[in-house]
Amino acid sequence: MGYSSVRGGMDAIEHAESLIAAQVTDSAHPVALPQVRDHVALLLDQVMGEGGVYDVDLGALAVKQAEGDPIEAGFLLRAYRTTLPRVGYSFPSSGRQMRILRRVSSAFRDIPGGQVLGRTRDYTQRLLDFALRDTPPQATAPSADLDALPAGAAPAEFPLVIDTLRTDGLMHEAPRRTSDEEPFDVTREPLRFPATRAARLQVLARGETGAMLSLAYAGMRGYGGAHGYIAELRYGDLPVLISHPITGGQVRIGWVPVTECYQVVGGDEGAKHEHDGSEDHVHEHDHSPDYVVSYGVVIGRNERKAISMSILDGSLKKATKSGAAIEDEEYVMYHIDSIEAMGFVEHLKLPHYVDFVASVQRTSKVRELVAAARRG
Amino acid sequence: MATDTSTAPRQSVVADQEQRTFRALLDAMARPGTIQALPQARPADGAWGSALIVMQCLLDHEVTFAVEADDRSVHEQILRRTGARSAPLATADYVLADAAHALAAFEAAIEGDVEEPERSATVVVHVDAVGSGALRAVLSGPGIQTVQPLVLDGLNVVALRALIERNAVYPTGIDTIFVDPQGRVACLPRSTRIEMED
Amino acid sequence: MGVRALIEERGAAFEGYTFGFLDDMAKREIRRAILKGVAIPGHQVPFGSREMPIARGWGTGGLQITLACVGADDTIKVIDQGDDASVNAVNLRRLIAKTTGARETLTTGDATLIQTRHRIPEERMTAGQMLILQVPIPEPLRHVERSVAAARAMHAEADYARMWLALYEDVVRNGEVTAGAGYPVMVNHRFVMAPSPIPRWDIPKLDQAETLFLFGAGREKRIYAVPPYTDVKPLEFEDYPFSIEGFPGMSCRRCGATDSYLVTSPQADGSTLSVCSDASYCDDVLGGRKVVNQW
Repeated sequence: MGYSSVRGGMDAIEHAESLIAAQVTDSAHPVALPQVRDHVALLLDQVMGEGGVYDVDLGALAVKQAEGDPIEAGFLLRAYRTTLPRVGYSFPSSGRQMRILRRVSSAFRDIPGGQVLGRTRDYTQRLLDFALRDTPPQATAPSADLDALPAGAAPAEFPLVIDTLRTDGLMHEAPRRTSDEEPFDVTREPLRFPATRAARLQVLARGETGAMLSLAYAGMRGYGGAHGYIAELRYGDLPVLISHPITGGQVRIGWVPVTECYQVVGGDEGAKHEHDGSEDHVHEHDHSPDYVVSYGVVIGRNERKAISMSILDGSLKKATKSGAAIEDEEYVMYHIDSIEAMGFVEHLKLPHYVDFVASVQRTSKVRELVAAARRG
Repeated sequence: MATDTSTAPRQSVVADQEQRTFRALLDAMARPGTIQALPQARPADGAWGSALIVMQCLLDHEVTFAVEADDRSVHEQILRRTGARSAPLATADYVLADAAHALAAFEAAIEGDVEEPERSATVVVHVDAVGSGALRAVLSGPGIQTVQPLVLDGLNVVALRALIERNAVYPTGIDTIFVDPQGRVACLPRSTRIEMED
Repeated sequence: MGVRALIEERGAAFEGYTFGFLDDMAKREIRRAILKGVAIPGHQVPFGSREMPIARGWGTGGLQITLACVGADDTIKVIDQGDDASVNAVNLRRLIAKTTGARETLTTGDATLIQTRHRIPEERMTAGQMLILQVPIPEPLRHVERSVAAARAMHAEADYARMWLALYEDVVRNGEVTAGAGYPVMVNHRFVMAPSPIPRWDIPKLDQAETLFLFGAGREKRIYAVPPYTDVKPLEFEDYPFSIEGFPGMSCRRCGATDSYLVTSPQADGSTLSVCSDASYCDDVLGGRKVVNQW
């Protein structure tokens, strides 16, 4: 024990680290970060979203370092994020300001501004493309160009479909909020229940895609989900606007790609929703047309998660609960965080022999007591 | 030992002072009534120096504060150095009071509720001296083996009685930090029982 | 000033990370929570637990407390199951050392800050020391009330009826309170507290100790404390008193101690090897150094 065994533990850790390092770097075909960015873009988006950092270079580095494990890569980003100073706050961006690259509605055949199918695998045939086995002889232009707007074209603002529903009286007006309201920040403040909707949406936006998909699916199969309609699913870039440090005016410092899902739930389903006056409306009279919106928003291209998020948002907002787990905000919000879930599940790998001795002694004591009782 | 610490980041002067201040406060809060030493204050800050060190250690823009004192300059100093938001006494997370205004602070500062007793004020009282003076009390409770004297100069007995009153219904209550210009600090968490010496 | 410039201003040592890894605001928040926790012994104070470079559930709560406390004058010791050599303890200690330059020690008596998982050292700690315990589940009521909000209300009203009922049912069913590690305690006659999964052996050490105990649950985002000289009593029935583990007829194979918590490993020949779980204590006994192990 003592120093030499501590040195032994240190040696073991250092060897484990070098084995990992070798795995990441040793290859006849080493991967450079631009390849991660171009070829595993969807993984990169998922990692940046769950990691809570939008930075393509850091995200690509995390993916490479984590050998493509999305949770591990997200964890690297989160741990790095902790160390960054907060230099300011942006103005709120609305989906109305989105530079649209894809936009579909399943609630309407046609929508104002038109449907834009964009880049999607939805209607492709899932056949392995053996042509991809061969490395192309020369580099081609980055595929991002596919998304680029025609030169000189001003980005059009597309109305939101829910705006149409509001105009038609199917939904109530959105409540007015002041933009200088301090947002709740789940990365700085511990959750308190009942959580604010802002806190809920933040936790959902950082949630693990697979966990959310699974819960949303269970909800749709009858475990507390509401059947809604996708009023609009859109993908594109949202502007990041800040206050100019000198002039005080709004300036755009960049764009963030996001996927947004607006799901509407109406009729009986809608009536079961609480009206917290936040994103949706407040009842004015009982017989008004009553659709409410459930919302999902995710960094990058991740429609699966955006839709799952809108389902979970809808379940959590229900005023009349069925008792299903996905309507329970503690259940959902505590268990979809990949970093926390993986940490605690995998901590079972740590030694527990002190606890185990304690447990065995209790078990033996109970056995003795039972035996004594039998003997009378 | 084994770890190479040659590349370890250095603590900035300000961060170092905050860390030392925190440890003094932690010792003082864990052992109510004992006198701990704060780091050296800036001479330019005068009598408020030690109190400012305490406020700087605890405050940033995530919390609110109020100042109850005749000398308003210290309010400006706290705003500038911590970025904390100014708030009315009745809602402030941290309150700095001079001895003359301690009564008002003890009477009006927030005490939290039973579900969240931590959402209560910490009141920093700037007194003439900690460890000597006319006001004597005997403390007992968590952090104290048997009994512990608390001796202060400049604080009115009425103020201390008001604090006892406010902390009567545990776990809600106010936690108090007494500082003097010499950098001595002593704490009175709400869990401490206070008896006045006649 | 841009983000890059700001980061650079904070010092580029250790690949751009700051002293103690956490930024000053995070440290301040943790410090505020610690002080409130000390002022309300046994009450869980929520805090904005930061993402750490080690996994959640692997000591991030204890680590954040340690990093918020540690300074240039400190000597740190980290143990897991009582052992400084456990790989996770080694990893935590080198992270603390690498980001703060703090001195490290393996000797309980030399440390000013000890971070621990699942043990309280055998050697009695003193007023100049702090013990920082890593906590997986800070809520002692979790197994009788899974909702955090509902458990909080129970603490508020000091309504521990369901906890007592669960203990009673345990006694009826098993003839004993079967809780092994992490036996629930009552702190300062007010709050039921999870002492973290320390064995029963260590529970009495929390009562009226000279030293300050800080508890950190990173994943669950809670900090709580037991100040020195505070009443900490295990929940027990008069006719079913609390008892600690016993090792009758056993001794440490390495140092021969018969008065320490022993852990056992099965051997290839079918026998069992018992050694001290507390590595520092084992070294002291082996080296003939006298240490006080009566808390």
